[in-house]
Amino acid sequence: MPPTLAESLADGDADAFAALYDRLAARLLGAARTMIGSAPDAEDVVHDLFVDLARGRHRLAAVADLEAYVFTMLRHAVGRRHRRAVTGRRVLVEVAHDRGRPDHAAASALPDDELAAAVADLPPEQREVVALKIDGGLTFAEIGRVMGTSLDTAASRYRYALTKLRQTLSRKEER
Amino acid sequence: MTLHDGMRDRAIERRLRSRPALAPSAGHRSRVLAAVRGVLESRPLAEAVGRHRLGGGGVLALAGMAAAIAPLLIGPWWLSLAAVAGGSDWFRSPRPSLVAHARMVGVELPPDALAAVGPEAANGERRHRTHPTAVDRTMAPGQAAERWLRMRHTLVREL
Repeated sequence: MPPTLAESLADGDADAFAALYDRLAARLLGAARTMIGSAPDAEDVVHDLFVDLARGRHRLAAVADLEAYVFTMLRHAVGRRHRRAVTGRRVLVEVAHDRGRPDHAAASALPDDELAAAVADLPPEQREVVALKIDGGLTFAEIGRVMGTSLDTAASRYRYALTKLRQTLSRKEER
Repeated sequence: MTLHDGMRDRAIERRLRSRPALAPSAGHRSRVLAAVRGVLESRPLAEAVGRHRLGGGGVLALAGMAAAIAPLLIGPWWLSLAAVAGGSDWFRSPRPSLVAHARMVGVELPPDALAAVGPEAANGERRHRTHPTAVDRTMAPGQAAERWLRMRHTLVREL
């Protein structure tokens, strides 16, 4: 029986990492962009994610759902980056009295500015569900595993996110 | 949520899905895979350096250090145990010395209180343990304690 992709990754097979990149990179980048609001930052996160995967490859042999595992790592990487950005921004604000919001500025530079800005305004948990559902193409069951919640919670957060997006976009249309 | 809201939600969902996919920038794939290859080809530090084993000299040095430190660590415990076993005055009750002190200053203690601390203590000898029941094992603990307290009250009052 040929080894699974996870087993090949655990063995340190470089071709397996290339196959994983070809299979997931676009979805990972899309999800990271939605979570962070910046395409260059999304590329950095995905780069670091693959390096982390290679470093911890010995753990991959025991992984049952490789996609959910990789998206979980993505979510953690984005969380770490966000915390660093918040700290850095706090310092920046203290130094320069800059009241701007870099994430939003980056989001508005994306295509469909209004929608991107509305997505950036979502609470982090709802934004993550949208990213994992729309960009990552995961099912609610997989999203639940990635976020450590139940399927119902993941689905609810997605519905709340759509409702909030609808309200935000409606207000903008009325203006 | 009205039917209209539901339709609008689905429209937003379609709008989200129709966003152009984020294609990796040129060179992203090769950069990522080069970094991965670098990690895969780098040996863990322990493997690269090789495992160190202590030679005979190292073992002797460690044993010498352990032998030098051991008395410092366990010495105080042995001293304490030896003091307890040998009956050092550090571990004796101060009560009989109170009796002796009372005698010195001419205070007469009630006879039953003296009985409570036992004949040796009544003679001013420091030979008894702290617990009242150790003074006279024929008494109940409560009774011995009560007499002991009464003796203390007398001493405090008189002295």
